[in-house]
Amino acid sequence: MATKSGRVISHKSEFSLAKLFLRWEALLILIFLAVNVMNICLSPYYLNAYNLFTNINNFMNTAIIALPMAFILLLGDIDLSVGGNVCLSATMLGIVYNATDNIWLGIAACLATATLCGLLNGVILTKFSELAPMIVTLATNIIYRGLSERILGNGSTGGMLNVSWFSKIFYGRLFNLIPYPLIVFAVLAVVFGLVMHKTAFGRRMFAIGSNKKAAAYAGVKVDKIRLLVFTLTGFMCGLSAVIYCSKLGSVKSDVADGFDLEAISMCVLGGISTAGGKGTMVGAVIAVFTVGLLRYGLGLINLEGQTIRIIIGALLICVVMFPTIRDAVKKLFAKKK
Amino acid sequence: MKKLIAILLVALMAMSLVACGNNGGEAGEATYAIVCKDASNPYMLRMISGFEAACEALGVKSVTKSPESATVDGQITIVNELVAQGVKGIAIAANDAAALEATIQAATAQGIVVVTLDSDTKGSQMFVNQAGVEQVAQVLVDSVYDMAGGEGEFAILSASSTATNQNAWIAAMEEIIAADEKYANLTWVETVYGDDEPQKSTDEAQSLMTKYPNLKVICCPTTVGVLACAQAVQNAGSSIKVAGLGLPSEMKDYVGDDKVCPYMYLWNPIDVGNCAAYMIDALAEGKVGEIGTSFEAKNGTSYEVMAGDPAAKQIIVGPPFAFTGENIAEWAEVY
Repeated sequence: MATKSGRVISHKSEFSLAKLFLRWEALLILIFLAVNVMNICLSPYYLNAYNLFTNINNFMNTAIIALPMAFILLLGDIDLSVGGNVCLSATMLGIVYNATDNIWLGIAACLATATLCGLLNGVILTKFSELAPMIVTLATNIIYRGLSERILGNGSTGGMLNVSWFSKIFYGRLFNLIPYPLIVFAVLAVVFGLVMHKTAFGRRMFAIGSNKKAAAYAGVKVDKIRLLVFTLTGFMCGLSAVIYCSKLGSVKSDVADGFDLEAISMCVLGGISTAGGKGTMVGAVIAVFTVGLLRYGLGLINLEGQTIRIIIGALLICVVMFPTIRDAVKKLFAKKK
Repeated sequence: MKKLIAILLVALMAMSLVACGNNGGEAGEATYAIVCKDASNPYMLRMISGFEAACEALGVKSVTKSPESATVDGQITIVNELVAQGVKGIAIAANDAAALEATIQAATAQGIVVVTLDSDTKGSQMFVNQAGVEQVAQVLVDSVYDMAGGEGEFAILSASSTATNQNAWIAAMEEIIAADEKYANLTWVETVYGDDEPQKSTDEAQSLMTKYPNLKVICCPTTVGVLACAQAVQNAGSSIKVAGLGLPSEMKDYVGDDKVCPYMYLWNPIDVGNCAAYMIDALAEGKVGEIGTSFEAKNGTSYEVMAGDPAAKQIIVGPPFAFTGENIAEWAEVY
């Protein structure tokens, strides 16, 4: 049977194709492959490795945020402030770099700001645990972006690309093929996956997400873990902001608009329940590429950005309806036995 | 997990089969693409129509793409997609003066001709300049001087704060005002940015009116801004005059001696888009020589190659044209 965590526990390792297809990851892989087959059929240009990597690189900013977002959702929390956080920390990078002419100080300021913003979310949510994370982070999102608007006004801060190695963070490629952000994402995805599924910390996160009170009674330090995860999310926003600055070289207060919902929808598509306690990192990673490549494929046939949004939204709603259908199918199988 | 991997592998093989079967699908027709600042700007739509007409005359396919909002991030994604499609040429109205450089270089490295039009950026092979920066700045400063009656407060309502063209005009206006004693009695109170969004431009215009009660002129070097501003000023019943660059068809109700905007300037965006397609063609055929030389494009017009900044080279389409109460109705029919 499938536990709430989505893992299949079975005493007999019998091969059952039906059961296999009932697993979320199997469905995701099918969707992922369907998207790729569709892209290949739609455009003869899709399978050019160099260009494929260029376009994969485009969604690495959001992808990096989807990783900690998976943790947040696993805890049964939500963080809507990541877009504002990326914006504010990118702003700090630009401001500090222009004030000191030292890119390292800029990066330090960026990461520090981002981590502090995450910490602030965590402190508010653990000190006042009756508050809904959705409301709190919605508010801090407005505050973070508002601060950036206050600092930059209608203007922008830039010049970061004058430091030539800094632009390599985004535009550099290993073996002249694989972009650095993708490597960063791959390494982080493995680390986050291991933490989630192979450590005591990960098991505690699952416990909190399944039942916060029960976890607390069982001796799990709920507040400490939530605080840590929110702070970590903040730090990852800083990382994303550094990559963003390296990509654009200038920051306006509208950068990273909509990052929050994009990261969340990637996680949800990946089978991570917004109710907490359910999901796998593999699922989230496949979902990141499914959404990203779908967007790229539709872009290749020159669909308008607005139309692409509608299609991705429709995909998301179809996929989240899947468990209902799956349960119905399961019942049917159970009856037959 | 093993079963998952097995399924994945089988499916991958199936995918590669499909891929192999698809290799013959290469389209032989050359394609030129135009990338605009955002999807809803009426000025950009005129530019696109000119571009499309020229592509048709040249016998190439044309593609139009715009980001959902006026961000350079969206434009980077779009240019990458176009490069992946193997288009022959790209004309882009850049949302940022520097951020597209690496992306454009990557496109050029794959043999794609990249020109900028309307708004320039680093890395472009040629900027199709709608009008000389000094010419535009001069007519704007003179409109402000004239409408303000030679003295008093004026403000600027621009597009986005990173737009290359608007920023170049504004910088040139500063120089012109500083250089000539004639303009000494004009007070430049503030420059605000409406991001070429009607609502934000209206908000900025309204806040200028409240903030500076003695304001005489608002100068908007952008078609979206000038329309929003003219509407805001008219609705407020204010005596402020609006100067700037506007589309005749949008501004026809506001332009005239007794109206909020006595006169305004623009060039023909259809010509700008048209010219950009001919420039891609000329560059692809290697017709464009060194700076200082001139060449004849396939539209029959000779252009002088000038030094560009930040693009490598530039050509100028034509001087700004004045729209007054007398000719506005006639031009409103055209664009």
